[in-house]
Amino acid sequence: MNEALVRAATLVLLAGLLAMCALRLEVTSSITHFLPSGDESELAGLSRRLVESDLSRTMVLRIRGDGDRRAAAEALAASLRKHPEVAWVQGGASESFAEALFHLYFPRRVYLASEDPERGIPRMLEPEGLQRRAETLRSRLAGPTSLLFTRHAPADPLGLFAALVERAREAEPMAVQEDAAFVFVRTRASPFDSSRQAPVLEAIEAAFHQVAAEHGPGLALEQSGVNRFAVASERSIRRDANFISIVSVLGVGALFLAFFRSVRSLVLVLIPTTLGIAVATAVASEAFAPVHGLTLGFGLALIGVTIDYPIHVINHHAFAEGATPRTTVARLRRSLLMGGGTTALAFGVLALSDFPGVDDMGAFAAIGVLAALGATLISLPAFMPREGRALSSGFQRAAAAALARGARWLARHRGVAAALPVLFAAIAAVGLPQVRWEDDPAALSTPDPILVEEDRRVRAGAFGVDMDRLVVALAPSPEAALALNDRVHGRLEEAVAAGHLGGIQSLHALLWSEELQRRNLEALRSVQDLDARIDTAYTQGGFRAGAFEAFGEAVRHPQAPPLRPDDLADSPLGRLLEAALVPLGDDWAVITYLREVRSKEGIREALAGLDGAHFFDRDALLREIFAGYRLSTLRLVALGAVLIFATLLVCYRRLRAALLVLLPSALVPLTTLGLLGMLGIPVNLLAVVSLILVMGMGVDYGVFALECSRDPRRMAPTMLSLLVCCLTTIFVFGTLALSEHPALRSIGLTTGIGISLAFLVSPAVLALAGEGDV
Amino acid sequence: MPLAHALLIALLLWAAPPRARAAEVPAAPTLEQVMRLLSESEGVRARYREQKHLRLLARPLESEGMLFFDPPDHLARQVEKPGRAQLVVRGDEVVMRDATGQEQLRLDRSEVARGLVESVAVVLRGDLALLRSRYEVAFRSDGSAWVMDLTPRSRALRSLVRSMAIQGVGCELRRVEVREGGGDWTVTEFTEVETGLRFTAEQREEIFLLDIPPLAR
Repeated sequence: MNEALVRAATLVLLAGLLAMCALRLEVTSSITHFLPSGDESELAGLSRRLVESDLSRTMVLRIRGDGDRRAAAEALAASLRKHPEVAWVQGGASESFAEALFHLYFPRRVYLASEDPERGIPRMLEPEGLQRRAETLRSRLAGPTSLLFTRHAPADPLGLFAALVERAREAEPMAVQEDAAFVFVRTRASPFDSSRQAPVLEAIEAAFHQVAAEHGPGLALEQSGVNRFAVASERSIRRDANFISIVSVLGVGALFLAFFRSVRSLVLVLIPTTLGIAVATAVASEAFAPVHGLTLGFGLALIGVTIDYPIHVINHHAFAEGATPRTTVARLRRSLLMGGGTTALAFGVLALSDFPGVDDMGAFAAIGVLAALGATLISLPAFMPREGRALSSGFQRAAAAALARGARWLARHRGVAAALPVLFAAIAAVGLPQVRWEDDPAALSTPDPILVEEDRRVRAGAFGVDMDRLVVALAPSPEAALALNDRVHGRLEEAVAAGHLGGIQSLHALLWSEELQRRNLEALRSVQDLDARIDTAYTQGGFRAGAFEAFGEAVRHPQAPPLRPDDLADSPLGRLLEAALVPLGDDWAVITYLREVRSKEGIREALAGLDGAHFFDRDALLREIFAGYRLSTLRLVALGAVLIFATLLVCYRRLRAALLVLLPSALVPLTTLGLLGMLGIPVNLLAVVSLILVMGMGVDYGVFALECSRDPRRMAPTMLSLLVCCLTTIFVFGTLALSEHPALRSIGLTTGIGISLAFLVSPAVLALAGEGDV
Repeated sequence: MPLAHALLIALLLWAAPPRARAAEVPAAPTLEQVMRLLSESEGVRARYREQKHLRLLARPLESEGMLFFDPPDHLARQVEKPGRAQLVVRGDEVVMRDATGQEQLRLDRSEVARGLVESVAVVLRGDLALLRSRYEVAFRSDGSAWVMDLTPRSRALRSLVRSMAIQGVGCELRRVEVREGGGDWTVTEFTEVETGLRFTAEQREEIFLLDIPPLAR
């Protein structure tokens, strides 16, 4: 084989793949990739829709303190409107809301008189009812806001519009309060897109400083928004990762310098892994676009296991007298193929997951492992020195000899060797029942408590609703969803009266189903002597005869058709509609926001029997989803183990050999879980995903340990390779245990413990196999 | 409000002498001088009589009673005729209480409602800057008597209120006339005006219905 040609081809291929990745790779950070895609996930779908909705892109800014808060809010809003990343801003007091209410609702007041028109409207028009309304109107006319009523009263003696305004105002977050002014900002980018959100946050701070200088240095800005957490979290993880990366790079560098006395070895071991990553990323950029950042991150970590293959090749070549790199690789081919193939199988099983992000991750990692394996077999030898001695050092030889002695001692004392897996099994048996599963996604992050408190304060002040607990009315069309919501509203009002919750913010305050609106008009029209009844009651109350004829006319000839979602969408109330009426797959959902949820069970009972009405508890749902994710991944790990075992059985044709090879990959994940259980460390889904990495590496350890039992000359380089592989993994992944972030810490701990255990059990595999035995 | 409470308030007010006597009124004062006098006049108590001429009603709505002002933004009207009622403006909130019960309204969503309700309070506390920001002000005086003609600057408020004419003598309001866009009009006349009052905590609670908590936001 022309090695120069292989080198050139490898470099050209690598350059081409990297260029393709740079041009085609599209990365997303949407959490929806990690929500289930199965049919059972109706509410998860809603959660996905909510995450993607404008709600999550809306920030609330609250201006407090001494100064002209209202003017400051208006100036801040005006400044932010100019920012290219800001899609929409609302700030300060606005007359447009009041005007919108009038234009939308006054002509349609006859459709929106009563929620139970067949009974409510006749009751409203009884003489006593009308007299009470006449008294109310007269008393309003005597008050300081009488001008607001004289304008509409001739065409609305029943006060229908005033009641509508009252309801609508409850649905609208207030822009100006006694002690604060609010600005609502919607960004164009996803809240999780930190690179685009960070400049927006900086622009808000800068604009506020300018505004405060003009309208009052005593003013203070408080903010709320998902983007703030995303940016803060990214910055914090970046700081953490930088520190850990330095520790990791220094550790790996020192390791390679200690064992191989050359940086060349380090570069060599990176060739197959780099090619594997490049191939997987290029395939992903075409097949899974857009690729999720986590898929990419975890996928890259999983492909990282392939660094073991060149380490084995380099160590074996260093110990091989007179062999060329290609003959060394040829000797190891079976082990490499077995190890790489089974690892790819373990990762590939993840592609069966219901979670789009996870199945992409499995496929991505499997492709990367196979590509890196190919690069180890074909490209790596072309870059290696012909003489193995060039890759060896005294320390390397001494360490290998010591390890080989230890392995041989163990081979002579099979009882001790057998005790090790037994001990592991015992730890698993004792610890597994003690495992504490942590399925709360909130436990994966540690948001700044100051940010959390500020966010809660601002949102509570602006909306006064619990954004994590909702009631959803699902139906095949907007009209059907609104009709269901009409009924949901009634039930929830009862639940409020029963004390199950403090209140609701419902689209029902702004929009009823067309069917209910038409029933209102029919009920009003069915009153034959409507004009006379009103005239009689109101003249008795001191009003002029015939003063309210315009109302009867509006009932006979309404000034507008019933109110429809489109009418609201084109108005300043559109923002409220968008937050409450959302398409969900083929269905439509009407969302009701809740205040002070006191009894979840009470709310569920209130909704009983209403098909399509759901109480949505986001925290509980996410816990359920993450628990499902964990269980499904654990099942896939088990399936992977079974498939690996079947593959080993087919390849080795002997049960004992297959079982021995399987030992590190099947037993070690269980022992790791057991240890975590005994230590009281909660196990989350990231720990479970990390177990796949442990399993992938464990099977490699088993394969190489067993293979070297056939050839005693391979014992020293194999044991050294396993040690270097183990230490490399600990430096690369295990150092994540130093992180302040629970998510990274969990990966680091699981991987560090798992890989160390896998290394410890490998000599036992070798010892139990016996020289030439299998 | 029970009669005993009203009597108690009257007694307390009678017993609490004005802290500061009305300042000396310059002859033919300017708008700035009048507003400064008003800003220095602290709490106000006056008897009022109001007539609302509304097209909707067969006869004008008449009422009379007491008016109280506690700067900067508490204004109360105790209606004695035709029935007993209390009507209080507390910043951005209106509270009404009569024999049938009580009602609270928030004004912070509507510039129009706030403009309507606050206009008298803005004059009473002598806030010239705010007055000018909301109205075009024409002022004339004759001896210590003066008249302010106010035209709303806001288009929305102007659609409801064509003009307001506020008459006074020195630091005392005497008459407010509001002309509405639709032709309705209201006249309020004040007598027995006392200024320079400082209300005690008990008086404030009684007059401004502080026992009723503000509306939840």
